[in-house]
Amino acid sequence: MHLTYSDEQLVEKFKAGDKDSFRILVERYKSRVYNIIYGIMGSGNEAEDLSQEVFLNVYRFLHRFKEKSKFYTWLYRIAVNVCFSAQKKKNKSSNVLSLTELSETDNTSGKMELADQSFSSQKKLEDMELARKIKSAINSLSEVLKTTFVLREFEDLSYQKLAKVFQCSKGTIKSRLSRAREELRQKLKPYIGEKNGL
Amino acid sequence: MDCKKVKKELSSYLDNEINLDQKSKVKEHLKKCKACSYQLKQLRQIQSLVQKIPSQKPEPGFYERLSSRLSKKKITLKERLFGWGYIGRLSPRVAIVASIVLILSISSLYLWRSSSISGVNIEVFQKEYIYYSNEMSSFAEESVLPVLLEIK
Repeated sequence: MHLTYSDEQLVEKFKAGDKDSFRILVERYKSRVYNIIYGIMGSGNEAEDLSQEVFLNVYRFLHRFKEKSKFYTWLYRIAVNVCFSAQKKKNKSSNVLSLTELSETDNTSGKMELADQSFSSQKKLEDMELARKIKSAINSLSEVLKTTFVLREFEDLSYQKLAKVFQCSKGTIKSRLSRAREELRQKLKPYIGEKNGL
Repeated sequence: MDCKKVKKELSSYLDNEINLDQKSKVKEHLKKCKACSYQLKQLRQIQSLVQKIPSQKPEPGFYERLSSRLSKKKITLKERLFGWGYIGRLSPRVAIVASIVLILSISSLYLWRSSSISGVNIEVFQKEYIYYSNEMSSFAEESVLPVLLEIK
């Protein structure tokens, strides 16, 4: 029955003191938020921790949400801010792996996965290798470009909605996506083309 | 439209986030230009590969874990307001100032209490002193008189 409630109704109910509506909002958006954060941060542990951080912030600040924008736009903005601040902390700490190192760590696990999949077809291995290279290329983008690209590709948000999330103009979004794609194209050039049959 | 301009528009062309006029201009250019068409093809390939990346989901029990963090957070807030844990989290400068204020308050309270206690004592002492000195003087008068009479 609760599925019939719109986000706006749930927000209203939460503000009126119905804490259960928060649970419904979490259940509705947890996977999307997790997937976005995973795409931005590139690691499962961080995705879990930061997704929870996002919802903790939602719980704390939902009563202040003025509903001028859609709930999910607000939620994604929180997710983006949580990722930015996590990345800042990471950059400050000299002991923590850089994004490149992270993607290299992923490479190692990817290699192990590849080894485990010794019975798989050559095509499957190639696909996995390619997927790993794409993830690594996305990880190598600057924070802003990566976040914009991930939200566009993973959530299929329009430029208008992205502009609301990032609180910037549509032109800025257009330029960021164009730059992100160009960087990815340059990095992935050796791996894409006729032979992949795409 | 030249190649430079078209390349700038390819990304929004791919996303269909381009106005009709621009779209037809890009389309026209792509028909003639192999390099730009190839670049668009590469962008489409990347998009298709990215969309093939399987989406990630949190482990089951996400809400329960969140809920437990939420209640811990509430306790922490209470602790921060009322608990001893707050002192440990104070910055050294604030902690020093707070300690000085605390010491000053305790000492002034002690001084005030002790002065009020001694004030009562003085009063009592004064009353008792007056009483005893009256007693003594009457006793003295009584005891001195016979001696004086005897001398006489």
